[in-house]
Amino acid sequence: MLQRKEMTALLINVISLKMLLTFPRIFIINSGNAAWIQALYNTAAVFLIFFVTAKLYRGNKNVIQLAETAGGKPLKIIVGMTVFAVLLINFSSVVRIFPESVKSVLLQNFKLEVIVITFVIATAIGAYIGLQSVAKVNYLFLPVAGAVLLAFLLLLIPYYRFSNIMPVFGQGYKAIFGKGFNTVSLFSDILFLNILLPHCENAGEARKSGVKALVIGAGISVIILLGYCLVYPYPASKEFIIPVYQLARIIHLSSFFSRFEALFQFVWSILVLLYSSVYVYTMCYVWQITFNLKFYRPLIFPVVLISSVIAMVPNSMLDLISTEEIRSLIVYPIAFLLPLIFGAVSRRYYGERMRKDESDEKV
Amino acid sequence: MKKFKTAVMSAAAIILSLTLTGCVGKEPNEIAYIVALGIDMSEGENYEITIQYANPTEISGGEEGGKAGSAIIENISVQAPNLYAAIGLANKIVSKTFYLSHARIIVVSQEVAEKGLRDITETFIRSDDLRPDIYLAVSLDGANEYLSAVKPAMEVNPAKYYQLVYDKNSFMGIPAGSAKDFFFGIETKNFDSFLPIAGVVGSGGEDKESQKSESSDAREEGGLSGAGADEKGGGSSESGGEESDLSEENTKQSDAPENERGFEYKMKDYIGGQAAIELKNKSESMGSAIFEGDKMVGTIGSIEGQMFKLLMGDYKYSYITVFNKHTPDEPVTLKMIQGKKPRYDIDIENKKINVEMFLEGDVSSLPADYNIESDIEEFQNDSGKYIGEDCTRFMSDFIKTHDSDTFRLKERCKQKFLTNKSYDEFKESVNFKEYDVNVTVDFKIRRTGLVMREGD
Repeated sequence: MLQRKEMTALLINVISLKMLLTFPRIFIINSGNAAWIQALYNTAAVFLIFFVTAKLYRGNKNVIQLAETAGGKPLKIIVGMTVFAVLLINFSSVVRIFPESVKSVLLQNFKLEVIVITFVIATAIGAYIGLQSVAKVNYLFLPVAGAVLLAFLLLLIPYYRFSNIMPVFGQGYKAIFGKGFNTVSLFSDILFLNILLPHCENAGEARKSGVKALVIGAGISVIILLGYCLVYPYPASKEFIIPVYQLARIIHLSSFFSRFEALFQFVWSILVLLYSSVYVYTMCYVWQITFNLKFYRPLIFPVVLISSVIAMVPNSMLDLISTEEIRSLIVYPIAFLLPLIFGAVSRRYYGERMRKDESDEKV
Repeated sequence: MKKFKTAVMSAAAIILSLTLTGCVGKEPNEIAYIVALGIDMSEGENYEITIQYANPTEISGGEEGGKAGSAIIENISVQAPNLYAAIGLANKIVSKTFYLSHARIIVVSQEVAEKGLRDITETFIRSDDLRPDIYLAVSLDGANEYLSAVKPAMEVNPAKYYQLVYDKNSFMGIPAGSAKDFFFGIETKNFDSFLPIAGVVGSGGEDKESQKSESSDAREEGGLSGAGADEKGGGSSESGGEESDLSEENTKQSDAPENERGFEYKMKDYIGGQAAIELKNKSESMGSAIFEGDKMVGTIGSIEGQMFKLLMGDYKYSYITVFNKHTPDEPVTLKMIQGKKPRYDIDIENKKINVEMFLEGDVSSLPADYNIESDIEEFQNDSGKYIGEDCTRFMSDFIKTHDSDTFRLKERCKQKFLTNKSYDEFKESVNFKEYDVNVTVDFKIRRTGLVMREGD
């Protein structure tokens, strides 16, 4: 069982980590210097979705368990495999993007395969240790990462230029409020809260964790995008693959402090490892409950292997990044709709059970 | 099972601690650290690229301490189509492997700058080795000649030398010259850039000399130098530099016109290579190269460079000389401080640019027997007026002479638009040459040093 604060920290990590990789570029390409407004808009949208889902949801069964209740084993397997596919799409891109980024900025002379293998081994060890341990380490490390982010934003102050976020609506209202809705996928990992519901003390605690994680995760995303837009003028800003790394590179305080990216890379690597461990664990857990398996650990190796093979499918970083938006388009409707649909199902199921309990009492 | 687990974990811990703690790749003593790169045109399509690297056996090491001067750096020149090709080629020539992450400056020749720096910015922006804040500078004497002339007399670390020289930009009349800002300018088309001029003191033969003279003439023709002072009956005047011993005096010093306007009165308007007469280190940085997009289109001297910094709000403090009508032969020297950024008001409808600058000064030096305290208010108002007039003239002439938006006027209009589309349309259509420029200065004399004489 996870404590509320551990679950909150876990969700903050899974929501915000995308902002440390290539995801901000999608915002910038769509809205230009108004990317931060788009992130605010997405936050408002995700809160609406979350509150509707939370209003509908009853009990602390996740969508897979509810699918069994509603449609038996076939539906459970369909839903379980759908959730697994969504997680696999998300995770396989990280398995490729992170080692590619490490190769570009840290280990240029290493073979990519070596970095990928080392990364997935570390991830597998994390998943093997178990969710509780990873959640506790994540809870301990998150304040350190927060402090680094804060220092990072403060050190960037001399580089902020207000004119860089002007004109205020960037690429236009249609781009921000129309096509910009798609980047709500930033928050698609809130699906974790649903899948890991059985690990929470109760639904109320899970809800509180969700709200807090969304507020903090959204805050981090908006601040990162705003910081990036303030430093890098559009359209130069849309050219960089890893915006946050690009920000870290420009920090230079006189002659005594530069190369902040070394600290950034340290925090970045640990956060990605924690994120990936949680992902592998969750994928194994989805498989475990879908097929009523006793242990999840034997699943770690196949899950890691499948993820690595899929990750290596794109020929280059170019292919990978160009398909990132499409991947997020596939993922977010499922990630938000499944809890919404099964929230309604849970309401009916729990409502019936409550009515049945009441009639039994009368008899 | 428990014993097996412990054994596996222990073995893993030992193996990882032995294998993951070593250096990966090159050891430091196998690396040659590049501190500067020079790019000149060569025959054909290739560039002549000069790689200046630190000589690790001579810098700040051992009990005797480091050496200085030419001993701490080595230069190697190769012909290649771009920087990385040059480094690849140079790696085959020297025993160590070149490493770019300590490079502090890329110097390009005037010819290369006039051809355009787009290719070079493309290289550094993609590179993980080169820092985004690496300096760019233009050498009118040639990049190779400038780098060969660099002999840091007071530094044991060559990278530190460049850092100290070019970081001082806020105190002197050279622009910041950051490669990152240059890239932003050409990529966004929101503004154009100035780059510092890196010069060689007293270098070159006739060709270089005539080139410098042309450059001075061009500045005067463009009305951008300190020449043509109307009210003070000045006009450009070349100081008759002494032509005594060419090996010791800077022969180019005579090229710099003396300023007869109120701001920086009696000072020479130098560009790189014209100022110092120091013998050991013949390199210096003064003046600015004007760019339109990625192409160099002209130069301005150190005085206009200071005005540019004032108008951009990048000026921290420095000593300036000001004309004083009570002592017309001798200027008053002030320590001038720019407390806050200038305020720009661009009226698109009426085509007017109003700039309000906020400056303060401390009296540092004045002619003997002159009591400034009795006329302090008058002097303060006059100084403000001179600075305002000179800056108005400089900015106005500059805008009318060049298509270069180095004052970032387009960028300053950004907030008047709601979307990038409408702003881009404005950028395409605006012609600042039609705009009237007016610079006003709110100037206050704060202190008169440690002395305050009684008024007459």
